[in-house]
Amino acid sequence: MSYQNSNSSDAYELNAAPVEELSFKQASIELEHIVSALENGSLELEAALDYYRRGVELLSSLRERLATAEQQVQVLYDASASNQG
Amino acid sequence: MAEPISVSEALNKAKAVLETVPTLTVIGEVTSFRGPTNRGHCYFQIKDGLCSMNVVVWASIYRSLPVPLEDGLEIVVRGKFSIYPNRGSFDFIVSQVALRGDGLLRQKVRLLKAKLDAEGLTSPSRKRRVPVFCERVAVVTSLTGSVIEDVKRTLADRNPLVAIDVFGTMVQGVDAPECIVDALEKAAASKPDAILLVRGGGSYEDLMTFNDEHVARAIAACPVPVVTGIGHEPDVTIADDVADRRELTPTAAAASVAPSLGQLTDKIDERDGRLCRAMNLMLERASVRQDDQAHNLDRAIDRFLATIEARINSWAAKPVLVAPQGLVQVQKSQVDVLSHSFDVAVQAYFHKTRESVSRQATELDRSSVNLVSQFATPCTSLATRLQLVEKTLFVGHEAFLRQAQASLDALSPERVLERGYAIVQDAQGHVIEDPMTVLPGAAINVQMARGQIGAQVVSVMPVTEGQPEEE
Repeated sequence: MSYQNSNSSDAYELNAAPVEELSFKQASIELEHIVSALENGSLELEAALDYYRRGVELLSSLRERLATAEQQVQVLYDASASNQG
Repeated sequence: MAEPISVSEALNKAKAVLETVPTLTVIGEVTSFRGPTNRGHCYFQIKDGLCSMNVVVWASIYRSLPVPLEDGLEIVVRGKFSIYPNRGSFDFIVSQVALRGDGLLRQKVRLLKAKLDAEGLTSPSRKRRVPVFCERVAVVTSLTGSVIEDVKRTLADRNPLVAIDVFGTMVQGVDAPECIVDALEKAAASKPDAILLVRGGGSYEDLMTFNDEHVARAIAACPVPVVTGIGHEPDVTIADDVADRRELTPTAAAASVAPSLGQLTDKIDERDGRLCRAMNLMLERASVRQDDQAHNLDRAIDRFLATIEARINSWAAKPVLVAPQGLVQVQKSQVDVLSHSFDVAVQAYFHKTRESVSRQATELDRSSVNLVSQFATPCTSLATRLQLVEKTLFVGHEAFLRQAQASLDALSPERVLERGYAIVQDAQGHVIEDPMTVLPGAAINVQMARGQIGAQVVSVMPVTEGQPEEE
């Protein structure tokens, strides 16, 4: 979906990708764009509602990820192993 | 002269005496150092102002040095003298070696720093921005020791969303720089958001690995931003100078690559609030706008109707509607005038035409009389001539016709009959020319001049030779 506004200079395209496929940062950035677009006040009401809905979805996903975060650690390489110890 | 002994015996004697010399700790300046052999052992000399002696440093011992040896370095060696019988060389076999004072090391470091500064590798403008939130970091450090655990714990507490990829390396010793360069390369290839190059505290010598030129250049050339956390707060190495960001300790470096969960939560809450407020404001404005629009619409309609009314009124006031007969009157007058003109013209025309026609009629009469009289005479003479011709023509023919009639009469069948002849007919009225065509007993009709005889055939006889043809 994309919304072009005659008044606004930034026509932010609403991302169609499922929220769960976005990384935390990507979701965060998209949320910021949505909030800014709404604060701008130049969206048509219908578009604004779509943006709002997406924003709520993002918020919910982000909160959940924070709540269930588990650290991932892995050893990918050991340079010292190729030398005589 | 005494009885001669062999070379081996001579050397063995010396060796025996030499090995009674206890372990010595000797200080001297490195000289004639040509680096390790293939096997890693080092054969060089140390000297003081007057003398020099050969030393042998085995590979295992040499590797423990923080920096490679070079001429001019002051070292303290502990070991024992020995003789190599094969070569007859007199060596000090080193069991322990240490650098003496770090003055020379520091000078080396200063020189290298100046060189790299001159190349611009330490310039602040080169330093890349490290993302505030690194979702994935590569950690280059020793797999043994407490540093890696400290880093993991720091990030687990602060922000577990950060994924950690560990690349193990040696962090001190002669072979460490090469290791670090290798590990940095592999770490960069995994494309993390940032690389953490960290090691725990140590002496100046221990940290010399991070003053190595190859390490410095590898950090400078790394395609991924590098954050260093080496030793304790006061320790600054060349690696720190060349890195994109230096933190005071490994845990500080770890903490610097991601915001805390608390900060993330705050940010989310903030956006949540802004989202709701913005939406509410928008809804409010939309409803206000609707009211405004309804009101504006009413006013617009009123204005529009007023305009129409004014226009209608102005039209209604026009003379053509108020007093239409006025227009007609004008036309009517014109028509009357024209009509009158027309009548006059027509009359004049007719008058003219009548005059001309009667003139022509008179002319015609005159000329026709002339014509008639012109032709009357010739007609009369022609008539007379015609009568004459008629007489002449007819006379001749009349005579002929009378004659023809007389002949015709004479020849007519009725004349013949009057002379006594008869016409015989059959019952059907056909004339019988040949008597042989009738049978006795048949009815026949005899036509005579003065009537008919109905008869019946008695007998029939043809004309024979010698008899007169008629009765």
